[in-house]
Amino acid sequence: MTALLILALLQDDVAGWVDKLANDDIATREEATRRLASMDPAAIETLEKIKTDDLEQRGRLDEVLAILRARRKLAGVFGPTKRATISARGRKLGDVLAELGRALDEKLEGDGFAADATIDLELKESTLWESLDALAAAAKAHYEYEKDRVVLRPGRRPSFPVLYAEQFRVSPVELKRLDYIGPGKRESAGVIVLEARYQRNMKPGQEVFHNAVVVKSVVDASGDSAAADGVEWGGITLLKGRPFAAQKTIFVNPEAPGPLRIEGTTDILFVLDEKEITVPLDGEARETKEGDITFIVQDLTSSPAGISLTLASKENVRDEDAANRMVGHALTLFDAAGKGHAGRWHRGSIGRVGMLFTFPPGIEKPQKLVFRWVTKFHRVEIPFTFEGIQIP
Amino acid sequence: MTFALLIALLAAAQDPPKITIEKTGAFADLVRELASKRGTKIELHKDIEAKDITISVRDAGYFEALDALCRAHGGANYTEENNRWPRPAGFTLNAKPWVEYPASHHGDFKTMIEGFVGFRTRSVDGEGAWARARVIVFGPPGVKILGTDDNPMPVDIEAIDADGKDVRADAATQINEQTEVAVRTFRDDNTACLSLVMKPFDLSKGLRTLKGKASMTVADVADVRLNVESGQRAEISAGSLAVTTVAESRDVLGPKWRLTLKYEPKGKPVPLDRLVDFYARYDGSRHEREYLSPRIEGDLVEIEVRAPHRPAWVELQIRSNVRTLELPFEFKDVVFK
Repeated sequence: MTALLILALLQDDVAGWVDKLANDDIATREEATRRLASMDPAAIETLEKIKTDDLEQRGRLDEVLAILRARRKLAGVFGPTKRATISARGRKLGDVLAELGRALDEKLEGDGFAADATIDLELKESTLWESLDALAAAAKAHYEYEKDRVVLRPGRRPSFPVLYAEQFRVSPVELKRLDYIGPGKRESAGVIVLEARYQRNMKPGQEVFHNAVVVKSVVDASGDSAAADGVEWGGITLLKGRPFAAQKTIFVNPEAPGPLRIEGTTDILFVLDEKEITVPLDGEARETKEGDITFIVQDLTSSPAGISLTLASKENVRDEDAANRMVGHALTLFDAAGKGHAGRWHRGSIGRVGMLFTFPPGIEKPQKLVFRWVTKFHRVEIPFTFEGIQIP
Repeated sequence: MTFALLIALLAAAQDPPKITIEKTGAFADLVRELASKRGTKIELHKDIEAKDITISVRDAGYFEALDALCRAHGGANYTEENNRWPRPAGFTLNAKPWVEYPASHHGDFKTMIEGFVGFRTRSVDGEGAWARARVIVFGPPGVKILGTDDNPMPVDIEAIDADGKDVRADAATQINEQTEVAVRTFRDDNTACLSLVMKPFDLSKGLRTLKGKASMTVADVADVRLNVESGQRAEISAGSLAVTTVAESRDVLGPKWRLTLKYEPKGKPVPLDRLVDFYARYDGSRHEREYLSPRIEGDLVEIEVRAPHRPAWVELQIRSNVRTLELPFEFKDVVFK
């Protein structure tokens, strides 16, 4: 089946967007990619059949397909994405917030708006993040996605390219230039912060951010790598962090000819299944086998300051996610009376050296150690490409 | 005796004696002489060239004298950036060229401007531009700067750029960022970084004036040695520390010892994490000082040491006279070339 015929079978607007993937204008190509990537994943099989000799179009189609496949996988794991449809013209902002909040199952509040403020807003099957971004743009406002609510406040904030994928929103959130001068030294650095955000009410919802955003390349306008190492005068890098978000900082050459293009993927682990593990302490063999790992308690000592022990494994643990498998780094020590005592983790992860835990004094005859261990993760891998990135 | 004279005499009693060294001699010997005047130890990296130098300092503070020694040598330095964690304990001169930073001395303390950083950012929090002057405070032997992550705080700052403009930060200086980079820079474990936010200015032209005070929490420190035997006790200013238990164990990394120490206060108890600096030396340690990962339960603290054999002793830094110090500094015509 030829490309033309396949395109003809797609809706006219989709065909138009596929065409625009080869447009000379970056903004048009970006918009086309975004539109196609937000389509129903049912279009995957049809889009896969499109053949083209245009390298740019081919690359972007592959990118769209990767995103659609990731979205299909996400929907399969986390259930259907919450979406909202609203058509509002000159409606009271408060009413629109209430309706949108109900549709998205979010507590949505306005702060700093006049009581009679109105808004024009059109949403059609929009995800949480699409809806909030559109709402902010329509209200000339910005929002804070807080621990237990969403607050909309007046005043626009800088916008960045965004990838929406079901419950997720991936985007650069900061572009920074640093200029340093010291004795005999004058240097500059560029910094980009990338963020993967997810909605709060997902099931499963326990995240483990081991290295949640992976950048594969940063390329400048000449096609050369613009990636840079950190700078020795940079001190410690600290991310502020936002609720329900994983962030990643990268350094770039600030003199690289812009705009920059960044490619990467998210790599967020969500807990799918976990089980309770018990290690007996009342016998000689203080160990329990679970799958490939034999958990062993070593170095159990008691002093006036309390009990300390090391939970280790007999094997060298090669699982790169092992550091994240102990749920909450929480360990409970049960005494002879059956009372549980929470331990405090000090350092280490499961492996032959192990994790050091301490417990308060006064625990009589410790009998067993209990903790929860993740047996299955779901890995959220959403590929992304952001173009048009300019360091200030 | 007048009140003013009494205050002056009391202040003089608290300030350490000024240092005068006017001689030619081996660099290592002169460093040792300086260290002995303050009852401390200065390690020299083995690669520092052994040579004679001539130095002439009169009525100087500790760091003034140390700077004169390093300047005369030319190949010894202690002001290098070190952003490792935990920060290295102990004081070492490294085999690196001496670098002249703008410096301000007050008593035995030193402040120096390490550099200026200009920031321009565009983030989801907004856009912004600002600058920072990174001022490093060096604490002298016997006085420890505590809690260096949020210590010191700026007081009475004046900042004038080369064109005469006041560049102190004001309400309009918005720091809108998701990531903190280049805010603070670190040296050894008795330094602190005062990172002063300012309005943007021409970094290459520098500042005409930067003055003010660094307000910080400091304490007097003294090393106390404890023999590693149950029942052994050491008297300290705030009471006593006694070894209650010593337990040996072993893991894949080798042998280790857990010591439990009991604090018996004299007068009002001092929280153990303020009383004791757990960067300690011990018999058999691999480094000059190591962090002992203390576990504090009321008046008990458990520490762990790794050594090939049972350590005969542990030496802890004990703090006393915890106080707030407002350290003045003043810099004129700071231009980095």
